[in-house]
Amino acid sequence: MVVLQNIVNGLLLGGLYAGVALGFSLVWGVMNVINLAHGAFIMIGAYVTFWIYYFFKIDPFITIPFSMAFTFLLGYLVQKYIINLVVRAQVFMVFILTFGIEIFLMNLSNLICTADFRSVTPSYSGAGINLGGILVPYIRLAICFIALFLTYLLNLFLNKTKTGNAIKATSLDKEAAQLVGVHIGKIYTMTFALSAAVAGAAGSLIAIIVAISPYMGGVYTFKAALIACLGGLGSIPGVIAGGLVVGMAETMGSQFISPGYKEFIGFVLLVFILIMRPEGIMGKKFFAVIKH
Amino acid sequence: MKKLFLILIMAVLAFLLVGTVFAQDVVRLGCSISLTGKLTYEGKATRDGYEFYKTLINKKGGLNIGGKKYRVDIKYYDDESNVQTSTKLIEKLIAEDKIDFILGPYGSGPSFATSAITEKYKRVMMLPMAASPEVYERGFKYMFGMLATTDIYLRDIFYLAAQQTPKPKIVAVLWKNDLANKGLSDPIPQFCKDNGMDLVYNEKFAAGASDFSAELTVIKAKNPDLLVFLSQLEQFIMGVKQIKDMKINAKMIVNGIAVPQPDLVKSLGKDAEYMVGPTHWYRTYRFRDDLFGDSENYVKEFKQMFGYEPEYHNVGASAGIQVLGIALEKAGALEVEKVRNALATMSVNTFWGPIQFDEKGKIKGRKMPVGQILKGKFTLVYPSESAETKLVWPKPAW
Repeated sequence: MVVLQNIVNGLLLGGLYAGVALGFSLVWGVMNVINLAHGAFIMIGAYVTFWIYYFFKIDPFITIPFSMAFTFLLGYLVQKYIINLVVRAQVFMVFILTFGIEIFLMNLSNLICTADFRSVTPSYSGAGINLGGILVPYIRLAICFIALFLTYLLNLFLNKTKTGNAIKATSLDKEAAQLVGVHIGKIYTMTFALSAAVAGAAGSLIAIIVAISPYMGGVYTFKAALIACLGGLGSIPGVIAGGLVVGMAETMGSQFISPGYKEFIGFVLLVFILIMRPEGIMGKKFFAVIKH
Repeated sequence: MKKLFLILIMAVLAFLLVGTVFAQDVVRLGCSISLTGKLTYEGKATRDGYEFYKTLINKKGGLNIGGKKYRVDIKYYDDESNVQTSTKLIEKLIAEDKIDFILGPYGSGPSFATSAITEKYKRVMMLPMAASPEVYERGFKYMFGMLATTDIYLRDIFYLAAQQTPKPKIVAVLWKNDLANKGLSDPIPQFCKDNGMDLVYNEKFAAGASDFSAELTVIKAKNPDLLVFLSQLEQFIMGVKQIKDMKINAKMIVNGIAVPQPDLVKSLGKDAEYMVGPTHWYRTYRFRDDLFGDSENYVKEFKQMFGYEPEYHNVGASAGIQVLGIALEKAGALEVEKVRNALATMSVNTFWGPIQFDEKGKIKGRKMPVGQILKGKFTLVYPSESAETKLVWPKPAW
């Protein structure tokens, strides 16, 4: 019974992790940018949900479009006016820049929202279905579904729309995309804004189950990096696979090895998968090729 | 225009003159504290505690050291919640700013690291926010701490639980792997033994963990009477949500640090109800002194000045700097050795309680009262002489 419950826990957690890693993987895959500010966008999404819930008592799930819109705009501005200036420089420069952006956003939030821990606790928190002794909390189930649904939507967007196809084309071959008339700068801005919006949505979801503070994001940047590498950079199905693998590994590892080694297990897994399959579980070779 | 200029110069001169006439000697204290980063909340609370004392004592004319009045001044640096930074800043305070009396940061980890620096330079270190026993086990001579150490935090909670009917039998402990929470969890096997309980689960989790569903699933299967979840506020908020998700109906849910913090109720609302935790200080404390009055008075005046209700971080910091101030007056000179000896031999009563330090620099005889969240407020339930009401036992089911 405990094992079954933990399988359910692992799946639910994995779905959430997929949502967390989605935007990160997209930006890495398309722009070859390791966005260390990813966690900061998640944090901002969480705060948008918190403040709307706090002032207007609006259900946290309904706030998701608002936090997506807000982080989309923020991501758009950050990419257009900051990252675009150095995106042609060495990878390392962009890496440091996003780190700086993360620190800036964290401290700005600290200034505006203070460092107090906050949390969104709706009236139905703790409610769930009992399937013959196995508990499935509604909130976690909803979070998992929404995260997976977002992943599906993004996948649809990338495959079925013109902009989506342009983004994919850019990630496959920048020069060739340019030759057929894709404006790389615009695509980068779009990709980054989209990634920020998805991060914002993940933040809204996380806000319901964790404590919100300006410094909450760092952990999720690491998780996102781990999952993106595991699943395959830039691959949307890979993000789901990576998220589920990490979620399951953590819950099972906690039960059968020790809770203290949970994070450790995730990274050991990463090392193994990278040795066996350097492109990740579902990555294709060209997604991860360094383009500079 | 010329006239105006002349008047301006005269005014400035007059101001400077008045300044020198009324200039008072200043005793400079130094502090490296977390004003940004992860520990901002606790860091600022500690700083506000220091500032509250500074304002009150300066309003009274300052400290009387060797027959001369000294105004208190504190130089702060922000350690950005980074222990390495905080040790560097302490060196800066000592070497560059030439400050001899240092006020401690928030937290056992930073206190542990920074006190090693003050000890090296033989400067007085007042640690109002260090609760790990390890801090006091290094044979340091210039360091003094105001808190009960973590090894006794939970002692009275186990005792209190053992007095209830039906008597609790099964205990599960999940703790965060850091200095403070390790210190809290270490003596639990002994507490269980002393009170005739069985410790069936005792596991740690990594400091950055945000999901406990797997651990709580295993715990639920053991059906514990006492569930002890040891972490700071951030993870306790997540922990309680997941305990509720998993519908673990322990008779008592205990945390060692976060229960008295008002943000717990603000974050969790009704879900925070019936949580049990120890506290270093409570507003029903009956001790008093001339500067702060009693604890009720402290709360009132602090709230007036800062606009929020103080809790033990503020109060402990005020008490710590107050004790350092008393030692400076007693020493009668701004000399490190004299002040150190004054602290080591101190025996006074303040609103924080009776103050005496043992040979390790740790305050003697402090206990940890126990409180429970009832109707959205941290309410004292033990010991009976300061208690406001009785413990609700068992905790009603989720």
